[in-house]
Amino acid sequence: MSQEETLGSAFWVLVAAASLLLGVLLGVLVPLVAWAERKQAALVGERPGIGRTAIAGVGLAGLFQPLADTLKLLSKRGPASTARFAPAWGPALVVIAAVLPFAAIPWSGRYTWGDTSFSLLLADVEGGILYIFALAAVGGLATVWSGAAQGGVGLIGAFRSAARGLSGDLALLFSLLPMLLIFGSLHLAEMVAWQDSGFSLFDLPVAFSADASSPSASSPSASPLSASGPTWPAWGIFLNPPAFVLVLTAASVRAGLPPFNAESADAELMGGTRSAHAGASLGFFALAARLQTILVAALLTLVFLGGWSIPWIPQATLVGGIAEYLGDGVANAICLGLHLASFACKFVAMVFLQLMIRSSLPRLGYERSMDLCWKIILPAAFIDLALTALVLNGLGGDLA
Amino acid sequence: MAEYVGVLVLLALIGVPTLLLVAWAARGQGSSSAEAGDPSSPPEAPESAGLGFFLAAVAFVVLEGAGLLMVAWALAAGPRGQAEWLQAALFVLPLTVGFAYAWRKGALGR
Repeated sequence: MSQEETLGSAFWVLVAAASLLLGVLLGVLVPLVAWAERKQAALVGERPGIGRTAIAGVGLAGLFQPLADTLKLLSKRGPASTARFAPAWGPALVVIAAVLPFAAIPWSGRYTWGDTSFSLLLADVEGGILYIFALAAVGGLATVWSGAAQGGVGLIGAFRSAARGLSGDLALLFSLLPMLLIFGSLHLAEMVAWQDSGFSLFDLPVAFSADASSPSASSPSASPLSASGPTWPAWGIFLNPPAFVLVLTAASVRAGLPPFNAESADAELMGGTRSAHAGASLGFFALAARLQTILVAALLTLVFLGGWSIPWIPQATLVGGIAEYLGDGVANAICLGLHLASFACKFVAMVFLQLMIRSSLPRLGYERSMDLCWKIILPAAFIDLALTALVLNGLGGDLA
Repeated sequence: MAEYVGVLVLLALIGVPTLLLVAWAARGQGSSSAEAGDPSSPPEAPESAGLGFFLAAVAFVVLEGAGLLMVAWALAAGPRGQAEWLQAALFVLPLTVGFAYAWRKGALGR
């Protein structure tokens, strides 16, 4: 999934293959997350949970359940109103807007193989994280659209989903600002390259005031932080722990993930925005919710957990160390494998953190979600931003 | 613009099957209206969303715009020196005061 400068036929083949690969990846991840969600909820509730679906006697602890659910939804007949334009196409737009952000999610760093350098990133868009914000807004709009056209509880759900989404958007923007201030970039790959280093916990000013050249994806070792003495990974979560909690909460509110899904919950509003949907279009909402869980986990991993970077072993050190024995190409290949494994570990941890939250916290009413955004996250993000700016300003003027 | 080619290809890859699925799911429907939840007469929007809703909406627009401007500040200037830091502080201060005022006036609900 690399970006080439020339628009030759090889480029098109590469982009098509990369898109297909991304589609396959999401196609594997979504059922896994759906399965994990139900298994984990059953474990927390001390229930047996799913596990009785089997193909030719092979059960695999209920791994086929998402497939069975999908077939059930597809075979169901939607309500008559599904034939009208907005209700039918709204959920499809919700799914499309949930898939497209993954184009800008980098899954690995940049590696060289012979003369070519590549990275597992489909589209290195200029807006970076703002592109993901924009698509989240499109998804929110599609949710409102597919609810509002229904009337009744669907209309009420649409109003609430709009208000909740906008509040979450604002809270997310302001809670991400301190991290943008630290990284000085919108590009997720550059943020990870920045975090691929260490800082000294007890010697922070010295570490920060080191010579800071602009970090870039192509030179991951050029991080503004330099290490002196025992170091700690320069991950966002260690540099700014409050921002992690704020972003996790705000992103969940923005995406309407449980426990912030009052406007589409059966128990609160008879399904709300989903009330008049059935069959495939109802399945689209479930699909979009899983995609957003994956997206939030990926974003948290990239911004706060150093993405694919391995703690205490920067990419340059790792590649250099292996290249001494096995050559440059093999070293890069091994590094890619290790980085993918590192990303996967952190990503799974973030998915389970979200599942733990949704299975242990009661669902918040819509007003309380709004209050959380406006009266707790937003002021806290203001304070966090001011403190971050103050500390950065105090530690060394020429950080960026 | 070459970097957006990937986005467009992904859009085609995801969009076409999704829309085909929608068209397939909606096949042969539309005439029957006996299903529950059929909005034969969609209710009107709530008569008055109220001034509170309007105030919250204005607060959102102001803060969102300010937030986007601060993204540019965080990337371009950052806390490079005292001057840039003071500029940002001067920008944020009225914003914070305004937010506190709106909160006090009850624009954010009870």
